[in-house]
Amino acid sequence: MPEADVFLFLLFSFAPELNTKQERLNAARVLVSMMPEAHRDTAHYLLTFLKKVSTFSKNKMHVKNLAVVFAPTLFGKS
Amino acid sequence: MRKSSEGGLTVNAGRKLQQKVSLDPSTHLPALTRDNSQEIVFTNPLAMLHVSVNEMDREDDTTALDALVNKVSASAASSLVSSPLTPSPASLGPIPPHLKATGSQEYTAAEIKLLEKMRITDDSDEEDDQSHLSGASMEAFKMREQELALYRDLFLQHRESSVNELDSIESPEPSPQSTPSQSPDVRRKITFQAAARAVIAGNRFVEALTLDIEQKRASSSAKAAEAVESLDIGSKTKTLSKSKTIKSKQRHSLFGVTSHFIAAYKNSKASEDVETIEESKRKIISVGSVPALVSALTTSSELDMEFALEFLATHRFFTTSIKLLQHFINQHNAPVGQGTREDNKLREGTQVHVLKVIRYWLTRHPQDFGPDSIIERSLLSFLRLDVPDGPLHQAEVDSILAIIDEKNIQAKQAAAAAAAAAPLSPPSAASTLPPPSAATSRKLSSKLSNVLLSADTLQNVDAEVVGEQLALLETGLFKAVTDQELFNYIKQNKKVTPNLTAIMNWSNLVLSWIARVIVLAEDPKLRVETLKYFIKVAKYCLQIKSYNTVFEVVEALSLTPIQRLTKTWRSLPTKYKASWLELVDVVSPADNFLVYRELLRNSKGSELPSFSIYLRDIDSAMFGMPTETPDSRINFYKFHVIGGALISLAYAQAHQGKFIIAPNEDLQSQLKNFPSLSLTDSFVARAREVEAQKNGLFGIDLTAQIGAGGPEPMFGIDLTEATDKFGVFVDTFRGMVPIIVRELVKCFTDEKLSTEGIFRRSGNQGNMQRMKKEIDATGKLDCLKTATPLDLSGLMGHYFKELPDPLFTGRLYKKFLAISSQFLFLLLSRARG
Repeated sequence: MPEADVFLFLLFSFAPELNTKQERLNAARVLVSMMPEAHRDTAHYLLTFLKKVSTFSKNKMHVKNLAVVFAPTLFGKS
Repeated sequence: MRKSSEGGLTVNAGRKLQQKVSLDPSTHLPALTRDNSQEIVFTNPLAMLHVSVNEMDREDDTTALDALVNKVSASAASSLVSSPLTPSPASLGPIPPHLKATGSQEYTAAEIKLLEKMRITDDSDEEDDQSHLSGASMEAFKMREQELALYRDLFLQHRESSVNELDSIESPEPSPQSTPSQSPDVRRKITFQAAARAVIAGNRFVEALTLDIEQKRASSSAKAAEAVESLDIGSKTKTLSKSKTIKSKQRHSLFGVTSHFIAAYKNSKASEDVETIEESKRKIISVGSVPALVSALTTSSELDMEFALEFLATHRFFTTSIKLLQHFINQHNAPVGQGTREDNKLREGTQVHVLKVIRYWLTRHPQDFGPDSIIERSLLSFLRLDVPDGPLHQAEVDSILAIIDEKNIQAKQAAAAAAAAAPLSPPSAASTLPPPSAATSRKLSSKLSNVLLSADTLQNVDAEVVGEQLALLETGLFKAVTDQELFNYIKQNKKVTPNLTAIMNWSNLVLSWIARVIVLAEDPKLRVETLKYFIKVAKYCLQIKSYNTVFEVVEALSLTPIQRLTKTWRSLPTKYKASWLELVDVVSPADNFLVYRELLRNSKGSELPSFSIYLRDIDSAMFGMPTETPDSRINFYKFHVIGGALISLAYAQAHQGKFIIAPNEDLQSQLKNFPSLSLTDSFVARAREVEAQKNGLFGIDLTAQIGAGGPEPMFGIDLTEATDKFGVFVDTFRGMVPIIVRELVKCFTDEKLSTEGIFRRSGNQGNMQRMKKEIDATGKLDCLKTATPLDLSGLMGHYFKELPDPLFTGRLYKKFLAISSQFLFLLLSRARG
């Protein structure tokens, strides 16, 4: 999953109590396994895109910034 | 004690043995009665141990030991010549504790050598599973087995000798550096003391070894299991001299003792239960430790076949075969209740179940039991020693033994055949596979472009014929995939092996072929004809139930370059449109491919299931579900899914895909020799030029055509609904996403993405509202093309914000939170290791 970092940072913003990368990775697994097909595919697609966005240094939106912006949107209200 | 004439030692052992039995009554020790005529002769500390016990004959294992005996006597002889009693160097390394405790004087030069060799092989042998061992390492493994046999004999010797010195258990442990100046008797005594402790700790030691099995890596556990087994064989008191016969009274092996002990230990440790869930009116065992799963499997009144097969098919992902066998044996030997009549009946039922499951195991997965492997020998000794004499039991035992015999005969025949074929194979391989000259391959490809690679010549071949040949070829590929490859694929993180690669590449090849032929057809009419042609192929494959092909063709036609050919699709006759919709329905991923799965379930016979769906199931379970629960039990639901996929795949390989089709050699070779085409960017660009037009997006038009109510709103509808209605297929990862998401993403050119603070800064609210209204009202996404980057990013945010169910989980999100508060943390903190 090339977009894994984005996902992990998303989870970080969403659930800061998940401290280590491994914890977040596990949470991500659980989460993904529970998602319906359409959600999973769209998430995959969107996260791949966001990963791409983060590679454009000019926009100053690196992964962490994107995560902060998208976490409330993608997780609903938190 | 008296010195024997050869400088050995004869020991009268009987009395002390009785003592030993009385020492450990709690562990269901079977009566280890021996009478006083037992006589033990030591000629050399290594292993020249003559035991004569005037009891029943045990000749069964003598042949296996013969080689060993030769080796032992040879090395013993040589050691006697060179240096009979050399103190072992302190740097000997990891010697098993009981051996260390015996004091260093016991080791001769030969032993040191052997032990060192053993250590080396132990270290070098990192193989996970015996079945993975190939050629050279198999040799190494066998070597090690022999050495372990020696090691076992050493232990046997100490065990026997210790019997004489039980009284001195309490005396302090001797220093391993005891001076060689001590008298032989004192030395011997020290040795015996230590060894006696080892035996008294016997069960503990074996338990430790067995617990080791639970914890250590597979290689070391194999060793430990070997050690456990060595006790078993050792306790049968075999002679190590060629001249004397082996006699033993011990009907119960120490192995049996151990299993009793472990079973008792396990029972006292925790009454572990399994958790179950309901799925399609079937109870599925979802969570449980391995012993609990074994117990659930065998103690039910009716054997749950599906569960048994899934369990056997997947056990190697969460345990090893030898461990599993140990659990089965424990289950078999575990006492039930108070020993009343009903309890005994229950126990009998369980035992028969255990035997039945082992029989299934042998029939379905004979590769788990290599000929003369540790596990096979453990199984044999279990069958011989632990299984009671009931008629039901013995019937099962007989059939298991018959299976083992047959398996070994087959293995021998295969080995013999391989050996016979070996000298012949290199020339034959060379003759059957002449290196294809450049000229012939070019000729083939040119022929190819004449017939299959171009739209107009394609019409010369019947769609049915192409469909049939595709089905036939794919059946071959499908059946070529072996169990072992799938096992490695799962175990080693998607490792692809030749046959898997072949079937995966094949579908990509077909995909690109179809896309190319259609797109590169210049004439619009011809394009329609070609599209019709492939729909016909898919339709025909659906008729003959070659689902793998159906998936491939439909997937190819769903590729973006094809889907955007609106004119072509529009000119498709109604009949074909209906067929197409039917096909799309079959491969629809909705409800986890419900339509397809139903079809597959209801069509018993000659069908070829889609391989990619099996892989998809395996993948999703493998990476989407944890293997263990927070309390370190097995999440068997995961293996229920994987096992189900593996079993139906194996079934399909064995029983399905029997198409009665004559292979068309010419066409097959053409199909096989497709030049590997990839859908490169230049091809996509080329595809764009064909029928270049704006908003030619299939999903919208089709929806507009079918849904008579006109365009429907895109914003704020459920994501699953959105992908159903406005979904587009993304070929990079072969999933469906709502068209608006894809169009939004597409609109972000590199230039736009370089806008500072994109996604963070908000766009013009008025513009965004207007665009939303327009999209919802017309279903057209043209306005996106002219929007500013910030408006686009804002719109994207709106889209996801307005989803009734947020992208990540929605209603599952609550579940997720609940889990997280309850046990996710436990799960996470446990799973970290």
